[in-house]
Amino acid sequence: MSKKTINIPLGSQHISLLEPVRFKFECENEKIIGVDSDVGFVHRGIEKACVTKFKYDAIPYVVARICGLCAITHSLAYTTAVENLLEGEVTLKAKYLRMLLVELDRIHSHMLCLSHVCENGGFEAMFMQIMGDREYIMDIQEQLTGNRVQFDFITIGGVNRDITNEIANNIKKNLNIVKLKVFEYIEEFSSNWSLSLKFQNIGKLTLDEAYSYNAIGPLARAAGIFTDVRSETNYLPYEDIGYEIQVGKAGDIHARNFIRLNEILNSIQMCQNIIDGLPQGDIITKLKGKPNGESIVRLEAPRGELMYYLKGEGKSILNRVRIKTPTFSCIPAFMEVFKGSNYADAPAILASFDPCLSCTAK
Amino acid sequence: MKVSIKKAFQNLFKEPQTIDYPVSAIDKPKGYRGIIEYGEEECIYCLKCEKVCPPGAILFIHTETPSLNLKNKKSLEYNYNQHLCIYCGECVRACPKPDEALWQSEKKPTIGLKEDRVNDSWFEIEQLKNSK
Amino acid sequence: MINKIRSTLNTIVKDIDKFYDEKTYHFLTLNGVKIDEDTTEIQWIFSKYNSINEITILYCLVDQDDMIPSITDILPSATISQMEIVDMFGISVEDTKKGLYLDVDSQQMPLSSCGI
Repeated sequence: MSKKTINIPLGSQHISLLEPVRFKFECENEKIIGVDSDVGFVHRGIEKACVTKFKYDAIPYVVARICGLCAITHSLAYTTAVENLLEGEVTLKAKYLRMLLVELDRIHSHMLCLSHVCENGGFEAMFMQIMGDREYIMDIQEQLTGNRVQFDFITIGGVNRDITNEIANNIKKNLNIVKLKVFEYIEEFSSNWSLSLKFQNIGKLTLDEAYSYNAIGPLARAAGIFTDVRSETNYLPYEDIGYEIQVGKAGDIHARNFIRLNEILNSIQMCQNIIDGLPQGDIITKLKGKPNGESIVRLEAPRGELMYYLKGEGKSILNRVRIKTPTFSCIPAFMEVFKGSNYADAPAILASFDPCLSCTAK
Repeated sequence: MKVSIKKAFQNLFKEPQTIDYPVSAIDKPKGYRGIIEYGEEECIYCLKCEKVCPPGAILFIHTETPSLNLKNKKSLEYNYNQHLCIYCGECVRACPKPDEALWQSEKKPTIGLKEDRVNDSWFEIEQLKNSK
Repeated sequence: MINKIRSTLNTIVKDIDKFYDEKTYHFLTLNGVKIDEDTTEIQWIFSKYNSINEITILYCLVDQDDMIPSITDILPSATISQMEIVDMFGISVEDTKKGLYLDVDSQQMPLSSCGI
């Protein structure tokens, strides 16, 4: 006698979803046995626009508007790929300022993900508190670049604005305040039974599955793989400012929360080291020529690994721009983790993966 | 667990974090990105700002009543759309005279109302440019 | 360091099987580049764990009517990249359905007519 299965959607409109994604679960008595997904709700045709309408020096502004949370990483990856095809070199001071902003972006993106995990667990007071403390980071981003979310800070050859002594002192003051708050969060996450301890052994991704499904980002590091793009590339001098890789073992939701908290602490230390050791020099250099050839660049966005492939033929409009975003390559891993868990745990598992659908459906 | 109970009690007596704008003022930091302003007497009509703008918010079109600037040899006139502009500042960096002919102020852009015909007047300017 | 290895449509599955090892290499994505009116270059991009800047690309040239073999037995995470090639270029891949990004009433195969 075969058991009957029913199809339940976790639809594109759901009370706990932040992103427009639709899953169709095939359930047998509350356990999920089959998954079907649809991710193309916000497709805007950016790859086609980059090769027909915009010239190669306007594309950093187009590509930054793919996503709101990882805007600076898209812009930086494209700019590094084009600078590989032109003649000239970027100064060390510009590289340090670029790294400062990438790490500040990582801090505020991880705080947003943690507050969403708290809200899905039912603890709304913690959600409000983390969002309130995130305003310290948004303030220093506004003083440094002029905008809170879409910092139009990076151009081909360097950065746009310089840092003054007053802004540097404000950054250090705010980062010290945020560091004390993060220690309080670590205390809460490790001892409060209504928050994170009830998520142990739920949404587990084992080490073998992580290798075979090519997982990236905090997902792979929580399962035990020692992989991080910051230690596998050398466009930016990360080893000079004290970068350390954070790896967990269990692979469930509780381990992923702790990976993100430890990465926030490491990023705060790196930002303070950058401000103490900032070199002198110019912030922008003029690069000559038109892009000719192929180049591939990988960077570490807050959600994983981001890759750009460019091909140019010596004209001002490029031939091909291929963008691979981190959530795009994690979708087969999502669909594997859902099988075997209860239907009631599905919103919590989805929030701990930290999906960003406007990056996926570009 | 005790920490969160203590914090919940302290939060009863704190005031909310929201700012009552526009009743109370907010402090804007220095370097606010405002609208682009143009000084016509110093312009040399090299058209670099028009080539560099990513969304195409600056257009120079032919006009019957040109200005008295000696460098304006093709009788062009400057047009700027503050609703298409993304306030990136690329035009100011490309200009050969950045503080005299073109600069970025700290004023907020105005609201686009229907009576001002914001979209239709810009589409007419774009058609004049494309038909040349 | 980009390392490009050329292969053909008939031997690509065997070449990837010989080359790929789960714990040494990391599969990134599939990619397509339009060369001229009829030919497209399809690339499979890999990177190496624990080494700096090492990227290997295996590629082959296909026509518009060919059928690309599917590699989901070796790489289970390639399903979504194959759906994107079908949508954007119009070239069919074994066992892959259409409809990741584009609907029935939108412009079909947008990237099959640019860069020429």
